[in-house]
Amino acid sequence: MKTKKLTALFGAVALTALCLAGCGGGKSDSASGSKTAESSPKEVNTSEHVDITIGGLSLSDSSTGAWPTEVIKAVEEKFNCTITTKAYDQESLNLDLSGGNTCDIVQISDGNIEGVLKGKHAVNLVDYKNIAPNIFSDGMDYRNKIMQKFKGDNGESQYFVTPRVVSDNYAKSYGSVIQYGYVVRWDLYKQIGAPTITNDDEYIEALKKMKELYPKTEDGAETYAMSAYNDADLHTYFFKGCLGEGYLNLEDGLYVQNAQTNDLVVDVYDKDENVKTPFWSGVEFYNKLYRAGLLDPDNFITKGEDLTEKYTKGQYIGGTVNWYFGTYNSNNKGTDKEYVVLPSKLGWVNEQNRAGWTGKYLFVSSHSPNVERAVMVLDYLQSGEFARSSDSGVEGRWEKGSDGKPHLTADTISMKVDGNRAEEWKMSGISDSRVDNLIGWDYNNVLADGGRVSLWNDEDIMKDSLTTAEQELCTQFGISLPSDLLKNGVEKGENMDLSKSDSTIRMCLETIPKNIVRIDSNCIEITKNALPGLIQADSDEAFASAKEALLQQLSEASVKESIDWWKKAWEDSKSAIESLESK
Amino acid sequence: MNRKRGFVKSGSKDYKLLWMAIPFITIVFLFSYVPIFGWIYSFFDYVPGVSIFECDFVGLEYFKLILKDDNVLRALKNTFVFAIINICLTPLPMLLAILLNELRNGPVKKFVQTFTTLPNFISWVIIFSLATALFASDGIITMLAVKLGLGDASNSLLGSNEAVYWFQSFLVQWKTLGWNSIIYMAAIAGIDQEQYEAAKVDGAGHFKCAIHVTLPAMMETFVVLFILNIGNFLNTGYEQYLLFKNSLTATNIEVLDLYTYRIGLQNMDYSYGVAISVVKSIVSITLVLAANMVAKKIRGRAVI
Repeated sequence: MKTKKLTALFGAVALTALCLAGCGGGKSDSASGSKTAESSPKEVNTSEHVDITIGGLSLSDSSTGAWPTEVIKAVEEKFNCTITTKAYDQESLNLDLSGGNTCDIVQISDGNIEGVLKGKHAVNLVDYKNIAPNIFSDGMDYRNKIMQKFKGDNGESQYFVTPRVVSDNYAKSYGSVIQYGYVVRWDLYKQIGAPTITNDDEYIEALKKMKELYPKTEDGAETYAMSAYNDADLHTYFFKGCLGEGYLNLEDGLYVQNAQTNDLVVDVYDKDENVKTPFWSGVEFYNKLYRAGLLDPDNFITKGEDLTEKYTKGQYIGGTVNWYFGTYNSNNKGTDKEYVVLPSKLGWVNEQNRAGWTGKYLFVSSHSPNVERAVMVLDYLQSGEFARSSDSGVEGRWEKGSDGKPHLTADTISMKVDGNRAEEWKMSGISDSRVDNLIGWDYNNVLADGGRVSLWNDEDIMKDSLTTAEQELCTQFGISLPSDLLKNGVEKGENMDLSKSDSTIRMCLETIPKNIVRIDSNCIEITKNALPGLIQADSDEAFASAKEALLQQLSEASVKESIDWWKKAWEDSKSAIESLESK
Repeated sequence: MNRKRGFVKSGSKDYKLLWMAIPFITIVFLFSYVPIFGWIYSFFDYVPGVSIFECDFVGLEYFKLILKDDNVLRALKNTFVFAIINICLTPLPMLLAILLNELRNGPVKKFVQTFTTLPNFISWVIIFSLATALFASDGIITMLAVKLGLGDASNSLLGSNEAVYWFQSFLVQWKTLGWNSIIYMAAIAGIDQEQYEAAKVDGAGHFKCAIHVTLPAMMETFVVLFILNIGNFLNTGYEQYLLFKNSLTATNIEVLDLYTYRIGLQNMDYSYGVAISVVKSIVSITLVLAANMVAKKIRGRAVI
């Protein structure tokens, strides 16, 4: 009797499973990626108003704040549509992909490429070439070849485009301020005599002196040099090391790319005693901070938002990145109590993204009810015209000067700095972070009118936007812009920027097999768990012993299998690009 | 009495009851049985966005992988430790209910009950924020401990791997104690008052009444809940552990649910994540059946 009941139960479950499987399985035919523009009209009828949604992993919801902005309104008018953006996280994106109901235009990362291609979720943009002149413009030729060969079926089809492509017409720029490097509180740094900082040891000495001057905040809270951010895996450590040693990060820090030679370097599993890899450089730096009593005791439990809170309260006197300052600088506007960033060995500028930004691939969904209109919108996002209006404002926000080149109007400049016009600034859509990852051209590409995409990168404009502390820094060092510290260092050969790094190698790596992903993820977890032992090591011997133990654990976790795969994939990618370029 | 057992007769009272039960049966079917379809993913190399039947069939590959994965063993060990601690603490709600029953002051009783029940409605995110405010290096309790010379700011409870098991179990008890005692309060309310009167006539005081009347009357409820707890032995959930996990506590705090979450959703290794879940479900069902069998042997009748 019991057997019968069990059989019936399992039978029912199996039947349900089969029914559901039947429901899900029929999707593939309707979601055909080979949907083509049969009519291939040169002039698409746009008389019918449509809705176009753009969703992506690195996008924000248009409902968050002023929308539609001037910039977006112009696009909507041009294509008779209403545009909205949607933030995807990995889970919601996978859900939409599985259900075949993604947005009209979607932005994904490398991990989703295989699913999008196999699942036929993207339309072949080549089929819409006649309505996509910007995507297929000469300036995008290199990017398109890369997309066709490495992010497609290795043929003539092209499913993806990338944002922020660097063209041949690129004007180098160091920006106005340095974004990442040695962060100091300007008032304290000035008080200790603004010593030259060229390496970690000099920085730690400066931090010690600043801490002595400012042991507690005005509210009586303890101050520290800095803390790690623990919600980004190993990033805190290897990114600090990348800046200090001259590398770019890959695969969450297990591997890095030499910014000068473009070689792949094994970072965490570092057996070469002659080379200090970024991860170990970063970990040693944090260990030195710990030993000097400068590290926040909550170093291992602090997350991004905790950092922002403590920066806002003024509890940190140093750091490596400018993401977490919160409102501290704006709260102290007009005073010298501001965070400024001094250059480390590597300045994160001038990266030659000739194929655009890695990991932010845009495609038009084959499930879109308005494929043609979506292609037209995506194409326009790839244009110089849209890049200019997004980064510098719609025409009228800038105008041609007597030199024939475009310049921002005085009103636009004043709108940015005038707190009373904050709402107007938001509605202008200039430098709107919600569309930053959608823009086809890099900020520093020079357009046909002779001006950069971002007119804010003109030197005169940058000078006008400096804060009190930044102005004092310039006076202190006899320079025009804080970023001149980096620029001069690069010219002297003391610092470096990313102009020699080739991001395309990373982009063209073959899809990482699941077993390697599994090994890498396990290695990252093992390394994260070993960090307390390394950073809280009281002596060099204790540090060396903790390092040895970690390397042993990594070895047992099959790290060598991962290294072999990465080295081969890296070389394959390099040679494939070389062969593509030689054609 | 010779009623025929089988499907309910049309027009009978049972028939009406069955109709009333249909919404609940539907809910159980939708949320407990339909998801079993997801087990199929553990037999395929699933790629999100691709129909499952277009993915490669890998058979038991992911189940074999579980046997080679040291992390599964570590997560299983942590899960067992948390589960055993929580099972050992299972009598606490019953004790709280007895103590509350003994309170004669109505307002105080209500206050204590409300005070202990409220944490159940606080999300783990808020509990984490509260714990940070109390136990971080500059938290109130840590500062107090430093001032009393009982510790130093660099060794906060939130970063103590040694304290993970009891600290997290303490938080679970703090959150759920009052709520879990409600069912025992209901059981106490159902005890025939004549039993207490009879006991008092025999000379029993409050304590003896609790031991000899209240406690035995609650044992039935306790055993049922105990068996249900054993069924949930491996279902520790992951929210709490995800929030409190950091590099200092990671090795001890990662339970099976959290590991599955990390593998399946963070690493997007869905198939492997599902395989771990399948094994977990099978172990859970086995444990329930075993507990039921033991209960039957001891008490003479089964719970399920």
